[in-house]
Amino acid sequence: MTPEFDGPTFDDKRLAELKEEVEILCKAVLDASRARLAFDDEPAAFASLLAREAK
Amino acid sequence: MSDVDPALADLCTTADAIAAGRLTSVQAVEACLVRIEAWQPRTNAFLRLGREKALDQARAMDREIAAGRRRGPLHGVPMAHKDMYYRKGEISTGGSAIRRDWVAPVTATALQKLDAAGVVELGFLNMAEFAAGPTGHNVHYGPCRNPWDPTRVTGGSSSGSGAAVAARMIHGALGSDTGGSIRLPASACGVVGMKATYGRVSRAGAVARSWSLDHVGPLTRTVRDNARMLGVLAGPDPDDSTTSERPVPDYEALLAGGVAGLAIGLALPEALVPLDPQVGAAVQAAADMLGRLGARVVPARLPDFTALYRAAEVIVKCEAAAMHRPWMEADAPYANQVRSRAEAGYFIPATHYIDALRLRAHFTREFLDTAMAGVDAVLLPAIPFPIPTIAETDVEASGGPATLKMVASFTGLTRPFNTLGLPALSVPCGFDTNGAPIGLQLVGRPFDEALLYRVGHAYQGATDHHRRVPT
Repeated sequence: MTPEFDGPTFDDKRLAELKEEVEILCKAVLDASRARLAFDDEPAAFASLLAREAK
Repeated sequence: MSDVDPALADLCTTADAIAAGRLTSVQAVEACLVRIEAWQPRTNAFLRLGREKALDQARAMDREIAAGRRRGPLHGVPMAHKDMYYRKGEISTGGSAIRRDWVAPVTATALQKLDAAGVVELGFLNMAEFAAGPTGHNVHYGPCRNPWDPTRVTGGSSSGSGAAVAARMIHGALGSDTGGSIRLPASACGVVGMKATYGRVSRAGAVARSWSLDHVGPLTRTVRDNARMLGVLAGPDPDDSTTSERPVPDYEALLAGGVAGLAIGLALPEALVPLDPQVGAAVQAAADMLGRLGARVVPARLPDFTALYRAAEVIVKCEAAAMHRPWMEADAPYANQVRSRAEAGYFIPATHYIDALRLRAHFTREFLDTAMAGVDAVLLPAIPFPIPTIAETDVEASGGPATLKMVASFTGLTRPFNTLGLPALSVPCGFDTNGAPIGLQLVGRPFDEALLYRVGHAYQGATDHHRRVPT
């Protein structure tokens, strides 16, 4: 993670804060993904589920 | 309606009186303008008021009625909307300094539908900057103030919508909801707010906060009003590919079903967020009332939302970072908390963003199989604590850990239903010891807005919280 690789620039203090925030978010998503996701899961399954479960 | 202030009548009563010739649209607009003159200094709900334009529109509506033409079920009714719905050729700020003078090139689909139904537009309303913030603070235009107590927040991000409807300045308003931004101001201001199923209402021509989680919807004084307004707004739109082709029910015609025989799951989820006893008691009392009306009220078990909260943050931050990149790179004038909430999005891997989107179907399936197993709707609070003051929640001024925690917990009970895509209705259910409103939340199965309205309407038929007017 460097200030140059993407988007706006940040000072070292803010970069450290963002690193901590991103690590927490990414770990949570990774853990949830490992517990739930299979090869065939795709983002559009969400809209299909809403349509299928519609009342 | 000659002996009653027309501004105090609800939306449906006003629309029906105009249709029947008992009230003119001009009279309705003039009554709202009187309310605005009295309440705008106390609430800061309006960012722009189009007095003459609205009166011109109202005169045209009255001429049409005189000629036997009624555009639709909202003909002649005065409204105003969150300042993020584009009107071609007019300024649309999104609550930002960046777009203070920006002129919209198109008209939002939601506004087009309201135009076709005959709405008179009084102006545009205060909101959190770029719809990012749950309290109603805005460093560029000043905070919106709660009509019940001007020292307290309105909730956000549709702050002006909640305040203006509650103070009877208008009969209805558009809000938008990415993590609670319709239901929070509805709850905090004592009005009704609907976040319908994802795909039920077009988002085209509305400022995005997060394309995947944004929902457009109405704030009104009563459930019936809300049902009528959603009936106009809902439906497919070629300009928003996420909208559903599913037919739109006649929500208003379905209100009268009552709650007898329905199963309502009651969730007072201490495990998710600390629940204030006053709020818990008010929602419990609402559940008891629904039970007396014939519903079967049973305990509901909510799933653990910890992973869902994180996945939603990943989605919002990545999408906000992408859309705001040009302005952020140029160091454009954002409020600190608006800028800082998106910044992590530049560093989250695309694979994690995609996985967060892939997880949504699983989260929704889990909720339907647990909390909604065997019930028609889930009842829970909208905001878990009494409405705080503007000073207590000013993250720009103080920003300490306690303030940040309070602001984050504002959305603890609303955010999940944006990720799940399920319909959620906020209805007033009492007042706290400070005199500020308390709101309940009803969550339903996909596209089952009609059932939520039916429950909310039955509840309002047996209670009078929604009839109280701030003074």
